[in-house]
Amino acid sequence: MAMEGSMPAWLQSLLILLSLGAVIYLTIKQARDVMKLTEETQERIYTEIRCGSDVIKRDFREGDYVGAATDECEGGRIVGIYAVTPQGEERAKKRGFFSSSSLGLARRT
Amino acid sequence: MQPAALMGSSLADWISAISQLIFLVIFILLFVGANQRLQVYVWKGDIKSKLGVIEWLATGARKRAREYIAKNKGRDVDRLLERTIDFFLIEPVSVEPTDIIKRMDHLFNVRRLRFKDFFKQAMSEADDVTRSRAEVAVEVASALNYIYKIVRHLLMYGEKTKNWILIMQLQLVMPMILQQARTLWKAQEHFLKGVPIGDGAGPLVAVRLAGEGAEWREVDDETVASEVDLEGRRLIIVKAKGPASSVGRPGRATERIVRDLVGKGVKPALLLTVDAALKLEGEETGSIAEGVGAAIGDPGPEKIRFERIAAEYDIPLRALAIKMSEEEAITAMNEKIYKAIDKAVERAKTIILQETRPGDTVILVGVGNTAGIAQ
Repeated sequence: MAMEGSMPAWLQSLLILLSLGAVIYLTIKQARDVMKLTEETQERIYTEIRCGSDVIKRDFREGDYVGAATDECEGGRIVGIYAVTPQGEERAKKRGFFSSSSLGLARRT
Repeated sequence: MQPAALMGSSLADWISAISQLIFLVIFILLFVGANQRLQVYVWKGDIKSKLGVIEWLATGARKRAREYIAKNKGRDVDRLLERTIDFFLIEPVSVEPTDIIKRMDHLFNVRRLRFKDFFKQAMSEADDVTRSRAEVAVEVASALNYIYKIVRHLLMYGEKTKNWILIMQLQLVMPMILQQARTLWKAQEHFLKGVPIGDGAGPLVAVRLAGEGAEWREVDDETVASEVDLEGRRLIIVKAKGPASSVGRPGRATERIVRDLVGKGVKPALLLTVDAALKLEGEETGSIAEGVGAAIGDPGPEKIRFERIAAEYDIPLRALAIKMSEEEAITAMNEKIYKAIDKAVERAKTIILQETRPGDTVILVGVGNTAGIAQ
């Protein structure tokens, strides 16, 4: 009799605990989303140089601009500069195991 | 009855009674609007946390601009920032539209020259490219500072007047505002490095069409032009003067070139503008679209010059757009946009070859910011 009477009360306590857990989870998720916005950019910038009929690619260096002559090869000229952003899992790996993305807390974009 | 069962029953009764009491209190509070107050409290907390991020970005952008100017032998940097961060432009009266373009052009010009003058005085030892980067860095810091002040104003005003609808609306648009602020922050970093941005797609198409070794001459303020032969057509290519961060005066330069040509008895057969265009969500970055009109994201003075000169001399005005998002347009040119440049060049050639004949004169304008793209 006593056990039958106590069941709904324990269920209520459990529900309260679950609600509290959900609130804490959502608060942490929101805080992590805001923190994510302050993270540094992850992209890599490349410079393309035309050397005769070939085009070589290297990392961008400050001072590079399209049309600039370069002595990296004979008659070399910078023909393009562009950014490449690491995608998906590659980004997750860079952030480490306990990152927001590995914990499933990262916002999907 | 066992003592344990008695204790269990008593504890269960207490939990049940307290739960019912809590439920009753919540039910009464619902009638006095406590739920809304709680909701507004949560919204305010969310806005404040995001406002903190915007403040961090605004302060960081100002610091970054300051460091860049100081590193490049800038004098009296704090005074320069004080004068430029809150610099504003009052838009011309629009209820009386007569000569509004002229007034707008005049005001934009005064603002541009005034701004340049501030930096010329403070960074007299720096070259034009460095100064242009400093200008953009300060403009970004100014934009972030403005966003921060506006959001703070709306939040404080909402709190002061207990306007929870204002707070709710602000909370709903905060992710968008934060995204824009973050984009500006990223853009400042790329501008300071001198990396070409997505908006530079137009000037890059112009450079590719002109080819290496093309000779460029200055035709207007910060605007250059070159002439090449394209399968018997005389192709005049116009772009902003790089690699400084500038959009030049493409409309005025084109108007000048057309008048000069007409004065010599040559009427251009085609006027083609190439620019970055904002894509709709779902559209592919780097997709190319063509149409009619002046492809230029200018508030009016430059765009109208294309339309007026084309209408005056009955020159077909064609547009080529390279699609990208707002973020992609003002941050480092990404691979998708870069790969689209060659496609845009091919499409421009197709338009020119199909719509003109050998011997015709064609003007192509690569519209956009030419940061990191020389000629």
